[in-house]
Amino acid sequence: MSQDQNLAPKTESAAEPTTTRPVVAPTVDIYENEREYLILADLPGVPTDGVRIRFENGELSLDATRENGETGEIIGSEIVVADYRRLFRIPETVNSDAIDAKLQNGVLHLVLPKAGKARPRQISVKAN
Amino acid sequence: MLTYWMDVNDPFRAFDAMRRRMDQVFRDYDQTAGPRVRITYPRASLRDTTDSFVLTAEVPGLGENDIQISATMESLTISGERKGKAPEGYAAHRQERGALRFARSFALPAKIDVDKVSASVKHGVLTVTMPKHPESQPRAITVKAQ
Repeated sequence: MSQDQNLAPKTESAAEPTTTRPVVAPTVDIYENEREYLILADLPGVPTDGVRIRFENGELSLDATRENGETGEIIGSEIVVADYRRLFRIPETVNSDAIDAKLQNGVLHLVLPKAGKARPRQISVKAN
Repeated sequence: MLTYWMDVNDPFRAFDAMRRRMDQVFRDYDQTAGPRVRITYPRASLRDTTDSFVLTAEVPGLGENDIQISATMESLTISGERKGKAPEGYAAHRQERGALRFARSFALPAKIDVDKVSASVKHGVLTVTMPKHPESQPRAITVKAQ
């Protein structure tokens, strides 16, 4: 069951799902340099408007819906037409207003710039 | 799927509710694939659209110059490479998207017209359309009454 750790917590209700599409966690790479974090996620088959990125309470959620445009009789298939979902905990040093995303060849590039370093503060000592 | 009886007077309906929950748990688990399994070739599917065969393969991160395709009358081979290097100047925290180098051949169920095979890549999905050879096209045969 350890496979579930990166997915959104399942709600406790017994609500029936309205679609039978499976939800999978996309594979990601996470990189960092001194200016920003960079997340790359494989999202094959997802058009640009099929990606939803939300930032809330220090968590970045990535949801993506795949196009379902294939026709014809299946001879053999390994491809699962799935939705993608994955959550990331974002450190407080990230400037969440400047998060940027672009989709290229089915790979999502997510740039999370770090906020400018907090200015060192001088504390003056007062003599009584 | 079993039928759920929703009888108000049924003292055993708690068990129905429980079975419902269990079904849901198994269904959710069944439909949730983790990122752990690293595959070394692109997942593909082959379809038959009456006048041609259509192969689709997941190739995220590969552009048109990274994929090579060759076809014979009865088979198709796709090959390509994705470099898994970290971008310049970045330190890696997590790398699940490995470098990929593959060559995959597919035996086709019928002859195709090799000259008319076309391929395109969009949103990280490769689509190869292989029109069937005239020999393999279905032909309608009329039945005559005597």
